[in-house]
Amino acid sequence: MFVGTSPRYPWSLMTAALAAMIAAGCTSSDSGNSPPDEPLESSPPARDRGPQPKAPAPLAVADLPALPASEKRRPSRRVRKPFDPIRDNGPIFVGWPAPKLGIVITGRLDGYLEPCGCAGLDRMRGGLSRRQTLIESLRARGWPLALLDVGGLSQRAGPQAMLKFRVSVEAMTRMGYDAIGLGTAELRFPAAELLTLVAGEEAGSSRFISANVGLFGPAGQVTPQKRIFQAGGMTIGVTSVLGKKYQREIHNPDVEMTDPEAVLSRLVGELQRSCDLMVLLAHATEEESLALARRFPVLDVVAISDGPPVPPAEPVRIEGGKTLLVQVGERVKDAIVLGLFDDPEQRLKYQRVPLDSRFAPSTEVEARLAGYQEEIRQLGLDGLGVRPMPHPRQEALGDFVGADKCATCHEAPFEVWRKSGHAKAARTLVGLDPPRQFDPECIACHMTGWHPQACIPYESGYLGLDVTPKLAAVGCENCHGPGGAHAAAEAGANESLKEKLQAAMRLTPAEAEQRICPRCHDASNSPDFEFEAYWPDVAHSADK
Amino acid sequence: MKKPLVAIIGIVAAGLAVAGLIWLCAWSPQRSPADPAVSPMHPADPGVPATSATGALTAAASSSTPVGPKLVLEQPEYDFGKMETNGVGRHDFVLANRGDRPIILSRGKSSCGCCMCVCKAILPKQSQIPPGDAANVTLEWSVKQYTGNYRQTETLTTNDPDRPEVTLGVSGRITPTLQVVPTQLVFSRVPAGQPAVGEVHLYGYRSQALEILGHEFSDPAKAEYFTITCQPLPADQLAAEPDARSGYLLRVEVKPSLAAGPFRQQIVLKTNVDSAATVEIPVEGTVGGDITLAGFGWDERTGVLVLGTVAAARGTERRLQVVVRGPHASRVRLNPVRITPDLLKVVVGQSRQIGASTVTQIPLTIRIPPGSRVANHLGSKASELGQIALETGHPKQPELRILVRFAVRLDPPR
Repeated sequence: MFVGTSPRYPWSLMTAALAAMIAAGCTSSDSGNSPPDEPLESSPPARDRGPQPKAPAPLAVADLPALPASEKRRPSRRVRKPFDPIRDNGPIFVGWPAPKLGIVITGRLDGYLEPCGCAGLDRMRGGLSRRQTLIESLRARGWPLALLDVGGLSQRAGPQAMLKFRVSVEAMTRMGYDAIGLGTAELRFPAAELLTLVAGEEAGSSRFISANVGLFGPAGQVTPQKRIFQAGGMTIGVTSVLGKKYQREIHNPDVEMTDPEAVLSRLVGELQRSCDLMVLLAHATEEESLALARRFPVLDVVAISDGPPVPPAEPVRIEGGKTLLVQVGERVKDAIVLGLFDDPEQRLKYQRVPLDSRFAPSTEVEARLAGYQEEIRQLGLDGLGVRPMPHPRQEALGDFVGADKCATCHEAPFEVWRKSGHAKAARTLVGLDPPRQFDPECIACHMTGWHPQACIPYESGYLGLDVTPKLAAVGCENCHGPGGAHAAAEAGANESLKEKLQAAMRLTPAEAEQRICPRCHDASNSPDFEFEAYWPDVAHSADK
Repeated sequence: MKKPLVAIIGIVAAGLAVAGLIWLCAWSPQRSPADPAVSPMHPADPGVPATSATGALTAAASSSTPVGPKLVLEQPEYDFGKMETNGVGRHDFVLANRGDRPIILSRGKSSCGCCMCVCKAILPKQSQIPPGDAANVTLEWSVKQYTGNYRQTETLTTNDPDRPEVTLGVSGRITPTLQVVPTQLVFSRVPAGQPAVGEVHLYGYRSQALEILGHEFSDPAKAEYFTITCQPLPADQLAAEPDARSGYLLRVEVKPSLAAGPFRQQIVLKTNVDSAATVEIPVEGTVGGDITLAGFGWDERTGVLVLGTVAAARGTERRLQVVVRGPHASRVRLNPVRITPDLLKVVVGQSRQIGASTVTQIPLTIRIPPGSRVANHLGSKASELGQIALETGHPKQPELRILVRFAVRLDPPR
């Protein structure tokens, strides 16, 4: 009867019913091929940990600039819809049955122990904590795993970089990594330090491997040239090389490096005799890695450190051969998972896994990262080898004096600043859990008087909340330069000196946009930054 | 009981039959457009007609058999060749509709998942392409602080049942304006009393030749320990860098007179490149003798090992390595001769040759045993710190001295 009244209705009804049936069928079907663990496809955790705000510590915050009581939060510059990792980054392992072996490949951590970017950016990807959760989830599903890393765990030199390297190695050892390559940055560490970090407890037990790099002598004597191990009923052979071009960046007399191709000519043959699957971890340029992959077509997988920041979504094979190329992207924002199956139709599946907030934080890794911050606090700037250096304009401009000093004359610009995020930058670090006000890599862009990229204070720059409380913010001088000489001149009677120093402190918006703002508002730490959108928050004139 | 049931079944069956008949009559022309058997207008050749992007097309519209929306995209990939970092690129992809119903487009997934790039699709007006028409979908991309090969895709979802998704891709190579390789110069170890040389390559990628106008050091007081020479890159080395059009080889020499311990300097180069008028190259390293101590918390410059605040009940242990190089390496033996305060315990491990080298390593463990008494050696002066002195037997470095900054407290450290 209803059919006659509305011919569309039964169609709609039938379609809906059919859709529901299909959906039900798919759900049921998918449950058989469901993702390996609930966290992989579940809704994101209510609160993705990592650096999280906490109640300010009263003692530490006491000296920081007070916030105006009436201040209201400004609307976000760019209204973005709430982040949903699965909607925005896509589902993973769709249609994957349990593989007989899963190979997780990562690389180029570049010292990013936590998600790329600063605190609170839940849409940022990466971090050791999420990686641990991914691996635990796969293991919980019963997947046999092989864990490989191309190397490049570090980015900088110095004690903090080595400390981060140590934390990374500890975490990856706990994750159960089978083989880790040696990257350029870590090979710049003093070899004695590197020895304490990469050598295993017993000879040959190191998880680090390199076919063509040796510490204190030829390759193979501190770290093995290859690893052969069993996983998923297969014998896996892995070796690693450092490319020729990257070798030129290392000036370390205790590191011996040889031609990768020559070493592989021997090693690949050895692996071929005993392994079911052969993997090369190439810490080399894309061009050199591709050349090696073509030169040794018997390799099953060549994992490459060089390449785009985000790994390709689809697998790439060497033309005319069987070798699968895996590019890892940077900062381990994504992990690549290869699944090996007995299915003759599809023996291998490839999945780029975004390490986003779908992965709940690992309590164990989070605790270690909190310990890392505590170690930084205990070592202090001196223990971390962070020593002040002269500001390039110190001779002309004098010392850093703090924004309060500026306020004595520049009242209106100070009011603008006081309401800006710059004034609260120190409070942000103190309010994180764990607090970050001891971390030079955070201080560099949250306090006054530091070199933002080198993460080193200038002489008379911020040294601590208790030592230099007036510099605990991103103050006027971070953009305009140290104000000591200018302030002193204004108190005197030398008019020409006054004018000269006033001119030296001036900064146009164009100059700010070109060379000042990007030093902190870079792609990693301030991905939404657009000068035109941000400038109104701090715009001020030179008047008093 | 059975009769009413049969009657109900009969009525339902009849109803379903009637409904089915009506449905077939009313809707058969549009059924299953995805089925090629009933889609006579399904294009065998999906080429885009040679009309303007917004011009009218004469394809499917004239057919008497409706086919629904039919999306045609001839070139889903665009190679932009080269683009400079921080540049913005745009490309119009032409999407045509050869069907008889409007194509409705919406944005789908983007491959652009990093903070280094922004890539977005700009859809045509009302996100629709009328039947027989074509429209531009503009892909706009910008790249920040990234160089190298670049490829990004934007996926659009459509109501064309044959192409529910269509992916547009742009690829090319991102070149910097100027590049420094390596970005920092690290002299991992400079043997004491010997010079060391490191090289940095500067590449320019614009047609205007790169020029270095001068240099200075961030720490002028230590400038005398460094020598810089600068010369244009030889042609073969320049050719090895893709896309580079000019370049310089910067040789940095650390002089033998530089004192032992870590050093840090920044070379500030002035160039003729507007967007990189000054380029900073950090230079750092360590000048060291034959005997090196390594491990967490050890600061070679100050000779201080930081153990921090230790809970008396738990104690702590720090494992270090002493590495000995040079002709006397095999004869070096570590023998503790002074340890203050006595709650510090030192264990010297077995000396071991590293592989076939002449280098030996000696494990050194420094402990504060559980149950130790309360102590405070966190001061800033050397006399306030703990101290460990070890005889080495090395003719030039007879003693290895370790200052230890630590405190032992009853309550656990924060």
